[in-house]
Amino acid sequence: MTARLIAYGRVSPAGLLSWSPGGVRRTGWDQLDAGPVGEFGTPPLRAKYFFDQPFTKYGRMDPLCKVAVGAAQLAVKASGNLAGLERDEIAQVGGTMLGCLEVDAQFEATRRAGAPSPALFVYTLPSMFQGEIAIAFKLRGRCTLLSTGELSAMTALATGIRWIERVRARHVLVVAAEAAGPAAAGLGADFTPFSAAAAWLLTCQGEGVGLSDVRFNTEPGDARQLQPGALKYGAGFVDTLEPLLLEPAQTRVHAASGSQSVSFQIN
Amino acid sequence: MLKQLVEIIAMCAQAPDGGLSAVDSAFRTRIPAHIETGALQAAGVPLPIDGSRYRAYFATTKGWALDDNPVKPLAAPGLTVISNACVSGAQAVIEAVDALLDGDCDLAAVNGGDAITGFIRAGFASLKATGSGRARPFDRERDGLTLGTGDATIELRRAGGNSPYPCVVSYGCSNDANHISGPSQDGSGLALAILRALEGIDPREIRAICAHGTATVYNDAMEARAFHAVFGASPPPVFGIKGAIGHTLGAAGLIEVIVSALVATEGVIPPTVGFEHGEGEFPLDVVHGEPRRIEPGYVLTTNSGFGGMNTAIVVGPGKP
Repeated sequence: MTARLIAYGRVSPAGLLSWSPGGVRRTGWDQLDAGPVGEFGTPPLRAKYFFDQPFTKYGRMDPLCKVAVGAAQLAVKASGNLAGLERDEIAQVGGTMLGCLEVDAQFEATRRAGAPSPALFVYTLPSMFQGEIAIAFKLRGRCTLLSTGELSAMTALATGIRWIERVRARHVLVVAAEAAGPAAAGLGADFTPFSAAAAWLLTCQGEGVGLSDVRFNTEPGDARQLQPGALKYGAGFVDTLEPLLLEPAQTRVHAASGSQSVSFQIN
Repeated sequence: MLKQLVEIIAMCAQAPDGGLSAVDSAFRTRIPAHIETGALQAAGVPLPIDGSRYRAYFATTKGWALDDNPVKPLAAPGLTVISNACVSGAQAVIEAVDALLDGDCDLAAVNGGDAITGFIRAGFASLKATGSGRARPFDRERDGLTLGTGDATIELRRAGGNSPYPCVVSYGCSNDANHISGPSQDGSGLALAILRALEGIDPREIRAICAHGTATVYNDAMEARAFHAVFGASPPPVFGIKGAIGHTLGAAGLIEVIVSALVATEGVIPPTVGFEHGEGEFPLDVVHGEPRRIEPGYVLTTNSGFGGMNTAIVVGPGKP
């Protein structure tokens, strides 16, 4: 069975993007009157950039959840709010390289100050953004979060495609997310604040870009070899893959990092 | 006829405080406990010669974060890290099963573990989730979980249809979509995962349930409701191991798969350490005091975690 990409959302330092087979919509931060770039490489994220209705809980989420839930909402909205999809059957695959180290650092600071914060601690698990997405959109399907370094987004997307190919899920929301701020600054001298997330909504039915024939850890062969692109950490390859999906090309793509690689066909 | 998807060809577990012996003593086959945290090689797991046919998974909630530096990235070179809160170990087994069934690899190793650091202790204490003493799973006077450092590794291979090894038979997963840190009150999310795992299996074939059994008031009540929802008024015998070894977080689901494999194969259920008195509303037959003999067969193991994650795995014995 071929997976169909029916909606896509992306949040990055460049702004917001949402896509469905009906068209693409790009929104710059300046169009949102979002103010200056903050410590995570984008203007501070606010619920009103994504949601039509007030969503007070959004403001209490950690940076990783905020960027992930934002991207998910862009895809969900582009899909017509999951029209025609049974939410009990929507699974989730998540990908991240850094995980929740920013909120880890915030919680650790409260612990060292002698007053560990329970509100922060609940977000010190990398998969919490999937929990927030499940709650926000009432998704009760299978849920897994994986990390394969810079290949995390591609591995997550390939896993989602595979689940539909093998009829393990009828619909899959794949979300890759990173939030790198003050805590991540210690990772290397070339660090720059950065946050980004991408959400791909895949289904087994209807119109959309066909995605199939996933292969892990194979040689590239004749496939188009993707470069990591401008988006960093686990969001690598997202922006170099994006144009091939939105203006779909009949091609096989291959992405590699370290000892691991991912490849799939775009139809 | 017994189903077999993937065979468990090697397994070992360690809980350094010695609690595992309270579980292990129920079995004729000892659980080899000789591995160091995070060390696949020390577990005797063959490492890849051809990397494309071997996949290594690491199940964890917090990576290798230790007390001296609790803030670290999740990723680990060469490994597929699976991090789904307290279902991480079970979820990693499920992902490895899929990779084997899909032909992505011929051999999969799943290692899981978390160091129980001051960071983690302070977090659970801040949530008032830890109990006053040793955890008492399903006991009516339970008052919270006990944390325990543990580590486990299993090695998996596609079953040839007549495997002598214990096997993963099926699995199911779900999300509560209800609360970020609390279980669903009615157990419907876990019940959904169990029903997905039992597709094609007669529930009467389940000989025992290795429950998540954290000994928090809400988790155990939720599990009892879920078991009643799926199995009716008389669920199979239930046991839990967290009273013996504590909640080992990323290793928990993995160690419970290992113990379930031994229960399925040897037909003996270890007693639930810490349990004395049950509850009335959704009563369970909690095995306690002494090991209980059962007919070898399918064992269901369940896990639930923050973010609404639920897993259910059915493990069966090998062919005699």
